[in-house]
Amino acid sequence: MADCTARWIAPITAVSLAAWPGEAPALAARLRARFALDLAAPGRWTQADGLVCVWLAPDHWQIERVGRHDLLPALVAAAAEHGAAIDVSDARAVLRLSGPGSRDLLARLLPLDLHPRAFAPHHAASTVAAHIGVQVRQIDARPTYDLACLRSYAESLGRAVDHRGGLALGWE
Amino acid sequence: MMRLAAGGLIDRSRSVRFAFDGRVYTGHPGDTLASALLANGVRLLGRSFKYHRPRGIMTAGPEDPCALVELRTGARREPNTPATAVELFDGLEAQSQNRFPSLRFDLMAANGWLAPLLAAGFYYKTFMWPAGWWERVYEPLIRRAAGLGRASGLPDPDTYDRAHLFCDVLIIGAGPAGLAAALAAGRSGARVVLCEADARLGGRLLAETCEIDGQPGAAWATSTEATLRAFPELRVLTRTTVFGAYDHGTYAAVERLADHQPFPDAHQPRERVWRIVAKRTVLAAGAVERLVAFPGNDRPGVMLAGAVRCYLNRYAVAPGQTAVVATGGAEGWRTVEALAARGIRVAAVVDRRAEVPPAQAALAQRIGARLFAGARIGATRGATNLRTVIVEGATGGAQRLTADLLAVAGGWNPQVQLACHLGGRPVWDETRAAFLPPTTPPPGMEVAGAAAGRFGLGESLRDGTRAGSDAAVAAGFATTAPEPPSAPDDDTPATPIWLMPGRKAFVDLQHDVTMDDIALAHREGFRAVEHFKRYTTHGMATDQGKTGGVLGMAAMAALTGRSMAETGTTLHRPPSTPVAIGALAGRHRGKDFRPTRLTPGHAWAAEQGASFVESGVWLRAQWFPRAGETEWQQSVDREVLAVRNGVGVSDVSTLGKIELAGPDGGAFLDFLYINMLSTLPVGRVRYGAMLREDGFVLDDGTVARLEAERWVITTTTANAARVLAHMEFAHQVLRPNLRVAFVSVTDRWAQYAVAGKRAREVIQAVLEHAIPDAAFPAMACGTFGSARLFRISFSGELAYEIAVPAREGDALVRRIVAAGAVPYGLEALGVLRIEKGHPAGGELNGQTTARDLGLGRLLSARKDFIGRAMALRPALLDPARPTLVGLRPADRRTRLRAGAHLLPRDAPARIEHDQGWITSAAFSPTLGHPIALALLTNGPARHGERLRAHDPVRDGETEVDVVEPCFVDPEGLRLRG
Repeated sequence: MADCTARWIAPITAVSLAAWPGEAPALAARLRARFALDLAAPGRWTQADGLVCVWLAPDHWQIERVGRHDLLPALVAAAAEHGAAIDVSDARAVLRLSGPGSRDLLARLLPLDLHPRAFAPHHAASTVAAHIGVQVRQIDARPTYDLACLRSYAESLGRAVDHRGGLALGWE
Repeated sequence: MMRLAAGGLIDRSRSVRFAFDGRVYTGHPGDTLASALLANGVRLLGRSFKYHRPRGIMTAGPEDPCALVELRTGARREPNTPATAVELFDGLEAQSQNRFPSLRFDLMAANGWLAPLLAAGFYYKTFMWPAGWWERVYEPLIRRAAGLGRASGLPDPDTYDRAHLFCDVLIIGAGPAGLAAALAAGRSGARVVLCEADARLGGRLLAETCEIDGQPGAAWATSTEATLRAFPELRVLTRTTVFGAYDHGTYAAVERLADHQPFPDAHQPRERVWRIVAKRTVLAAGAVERLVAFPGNDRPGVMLAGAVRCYLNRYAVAPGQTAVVATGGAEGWRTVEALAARGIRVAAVVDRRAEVPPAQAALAQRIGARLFAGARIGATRGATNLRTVIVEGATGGAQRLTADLLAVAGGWNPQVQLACHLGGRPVWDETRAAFLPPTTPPPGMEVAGAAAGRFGLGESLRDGTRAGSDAAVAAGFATTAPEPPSAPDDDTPATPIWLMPGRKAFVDLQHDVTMDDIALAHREGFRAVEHFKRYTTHGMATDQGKTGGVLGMAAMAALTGRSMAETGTTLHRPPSTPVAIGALAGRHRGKDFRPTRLTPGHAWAAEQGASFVESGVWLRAQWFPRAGETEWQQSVDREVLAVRNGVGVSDVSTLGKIELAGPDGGAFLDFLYINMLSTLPVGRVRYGAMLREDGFVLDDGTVARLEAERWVITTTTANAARVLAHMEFAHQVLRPNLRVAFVSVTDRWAQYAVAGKRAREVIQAVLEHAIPDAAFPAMACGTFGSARLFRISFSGELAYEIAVPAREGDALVRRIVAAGAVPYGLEALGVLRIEKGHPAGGELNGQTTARDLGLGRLLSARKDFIGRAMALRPALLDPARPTLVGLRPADRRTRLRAGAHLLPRDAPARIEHDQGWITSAAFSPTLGHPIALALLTNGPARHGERLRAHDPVRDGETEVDVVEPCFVDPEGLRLRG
């Protein structure tokens, strides 16, 4: 039994969502009304009914759903005059690491403090792993983490994780 | 055998076999290589750097300047490893260094007789003539004679790791102060990291006979370790040296995971570099012993007094059978006691003080040691081992004493290096006779115990307890300091620096720097510390002068009549201890030096046997060789002709793609590009170029308007990230109020260029949709199901670029090929664009303006855009600027090469005749001869001229004709199909 398991989650439907200056509250209200989804605060991610919202930058989020869906029209409609939506499905590969050894493994990969006092479920961060830009989210307290990188880097990220995991890592 | 019958922190129940210079010995777990060699009576370990003098074991720690060996064999051979820092393991192999033909009989020892020629700076003075001999004769000779161990010269077979650690309190050093600090900080619940370079916790407690809380010091360290390990948030890292302090509480440490084994276990890194980020830091790195300078102070058998106690108490080894102890105070007398307690004969005690306290005089009398008060060491004798110590008395007479161990008490240097890495200068303290930490250590750091000059045990424990507790409180934990562990305050007076001048009185044992060298530097005017350090190389060896550095400064202080405080010390910089380059590189070696980006069609291209090339971090198909093609040029020519005469397909997924949306998108694009883009209708594409703020071209590409408020732009592969950053700056800083959002969609789309007169039929087959020219003319764009189609051409042929979601890319390229398109790679793509005169990497070099590239007509006068004002600078408008032209060889045969410079036909090849250079060159299979693009002064006015292309680097000299940069179909008829 490996201390840490790894598997790729695919496919992911994703839409980049931006609010115009000063329009974030209005956008949040429309998103809540339409999907019961809260816009995530800085450094956090939220979810509702299979939809995930990750904070990326000021006035900038990503809305995701696992599997293939046509999310864009609904989000373009939700954004209306308050912001814009751009489809980025397929752009990222998501690696899920889970198990008691995953924190140790990630300590060798990410320049981030993942101690439970500093990083907990529903926390998110944009950082770098082995020279690859990644977006990290903690999913649960096992702990489970998702690492999202640009799709073209997936093989290199998998290799970097594999090297650092050694015998403690089990691929699913 | 020199092993004592009892005692020591070694495991006598087990034996460990090891080899030194091919001879097999045994030791015990818990030994270092140095202690095991001493236990076997081996005292000669190597030859010195410059004079090839015999050298042995001087200290019991990693700072040893003499006991350097080559460790391991084959690809794992590592030079200049202090035997004092090597944990003994079964099968260890070590060799002595810098000797020829053998350690005992070393021919290079003749260098010792040449010492007057080899003084400081000798290579600046002695080997000046003839000038040409330096590189060919002198330097190779000196390099062969000098130096220490040999690197293996083979690839390192081990792996290394890097990792990150965050904590509230970092404690550096697990001696008495560090352990006390860890106890105090750990109980607060703070996240504590305790780093110790040794395999065991305890520091000097392991080397001394002392008591803490009624227990022997070493036993207290063991029980304290158990207490610490029970704290859930405290992490102990042994075999871990913190070697650098950086900004914002960041430290670097190296953990030696497998250096105590013959080789690492499967999947085990050999070493790991930790980046530790700490809210607060307690530096409890202790102190290292100082050398004493006297003639012959380097001979094997001369050892520092504290190291002698360490060998006796920790390793149960007698470093000699008959000892002389030289001291200036209580420090040496502790060694006298320790030697006597272990039954080792102390022949004499040489005390520099004229008045020796009665208790110490009585001790000498009790153990039968002669006492020389107010005396000094005049010299030492012995071929490869100490035999005789010559003592010069207060009245001038000399005494020869037979001894094989000379223990010298030179005092202690606080380990202040990490406190100085952010620029702090150590402060000289006369009463403690030591450089203390700077008044401004790195923010968040406090120095405790011996590292702060508090050498007494009780004092050190109290200091550590207070520092640990304060650090936890400062990191936000409510705690009070516990009762410090109790120990007597042996208030040993400080030992002053002791210099006894004379020949071969070394102040730097690793670089063979003597007091004479310091005197020479003084005579020649190199008196400031930073100057004489470099002139004499004093303190510049791998030991960084930890034992002898302060002595050199004291010698210079004495020569100049300045105080130690006025003389000062050199600046400390990381790393404070040698770190393997491999450990710093971590996993990023070979193929993993940088990540690789692969396109969605990579697997397909690999199946076709494509040759790949690195293009930035992307791996791109360079060409697709077919059976019978033996040269790359054959493949590339075939691919180019397939496009010109039929249809080809190329993977352009690596081009940067940025999607924009929002009502102000048009205004933002007008601001970014030199040409007008807000007027672009929906369903159309326009070529555009961007400038940097300074008016030079940043990048070029296309802009497609997909919907009223949605655009997708392309960038070159190389500039994709730079353009996105430029746009982020333009939006966030320059135009924050524009309602536009944009994001890179490079990875979302797999994109293929389909080019050639049959391109339309291929695209229609793939899309299963008719796209007549009237409905989809040149520069049209549109959406077909999940695909986006753009009628744009880089090759000058009828061409489309088709983009599909990345997951569909592999299937799409297979369908395109099945529909009849010939795959072409990056090389053919390059040839096609050179034939059309499109600027790319060689021309978009950051030094060219839009006019230089023939894009001047795009510059809009009806709007503002980034770079507009600076592009109007007179020098940028000068017609004499190198401007884009085409070239072909006058003989239509000779190959042209990028980088060759253009000169008038009859002018000599001198810089004042230089008129430009070739930026891109290729063989054009379409035309049947070589072609090139070039930047030529006043270029457009010179079509028809004949010039020289001068290439001295590759011995090339060709006459070339200047022509239009577009070689194929200048009217653009093919584009329209």
